[in-house]
Amino acid sequence: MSRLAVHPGLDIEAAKARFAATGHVRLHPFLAREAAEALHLEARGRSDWKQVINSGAKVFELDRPTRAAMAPEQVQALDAAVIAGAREGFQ
Amino acid sequence: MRTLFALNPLLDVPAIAHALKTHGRVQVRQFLHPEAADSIHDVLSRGTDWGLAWAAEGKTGAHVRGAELRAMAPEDRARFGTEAADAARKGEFAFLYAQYPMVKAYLEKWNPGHPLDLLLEHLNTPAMLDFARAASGIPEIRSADAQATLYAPGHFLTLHNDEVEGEGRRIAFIISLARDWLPDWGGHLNFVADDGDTVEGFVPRFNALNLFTVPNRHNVGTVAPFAPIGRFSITGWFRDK
Repeated sequence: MSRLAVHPGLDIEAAKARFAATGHVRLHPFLAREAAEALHLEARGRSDWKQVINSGAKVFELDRPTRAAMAPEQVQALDAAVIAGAREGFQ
Repeated sequence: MRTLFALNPLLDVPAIAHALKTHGRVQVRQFLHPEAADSIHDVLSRGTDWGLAWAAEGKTGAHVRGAELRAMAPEDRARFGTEAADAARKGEFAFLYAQYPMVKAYLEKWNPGHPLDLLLEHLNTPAMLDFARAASGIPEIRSADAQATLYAPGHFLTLHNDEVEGEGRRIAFIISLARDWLPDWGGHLNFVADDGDTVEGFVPRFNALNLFTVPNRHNVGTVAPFAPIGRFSITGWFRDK
């Protein structure tokens, strides 16, 4: 597996100046190509992604088996709650 | 009777013209007289029989009238959204939004005397066309077409530049009539650079006019599933024919 390595052409000084001037910056390309490909494959290949949902200040994590075990009505109720939460508040 | 259409008498037309010339786009806040903005909003929110405008792969765009939509089975109605989304996923030009095609409705006399018929006439009065000519610096502008649009949750318009040969489109306009819209609800008019970054995005507002030159690469971002019904606008082009 490739080592995580930043792109050899990164212009840190230019990025630094831009960040200082505007408060945001994007470095592109950021990683060395092989490292970016490897990281992408790793992310694509994993099956332990979790869905993160908040309800007010509480945060819940739902893994795939939990999601898959939910009844359609539960999924609908959860979606409805998330949608209602997002309309006016932080979700 | 309330005013249906009147421009804000305090518009700073030279400043608008300068911004449009400099950037190719401009947003004018408080564009209409407040009473006119309220009147048009009332028409759009309570008195418009919305149909559906959609385009998908291999389909250049069509309008389905409100009565026709209501007569369809839910699964048939859903097909428009599915096909438009499938095309958008592949990077094809696609759109999906509620529409009242004002020119077609006017010419085919769908509802003679409907306020949107009168509004189309107002958009073609000397007062409005003089404003368009002054703001754009294009004396050849001769007419305005228009449609009423409502982007509901899930509706969108993918990237394009508005240029259609022979149509005479010179300046695109959007009179935005979305009350109390939050940026998280989506539906922005985005101007997009060749590398895909948004150069500027206009949030839906109440009583704002967006103007931009044609061609100009833009889209309407998808309205979020949690947005309320309310992203109304009157939109079209000022034309030289």
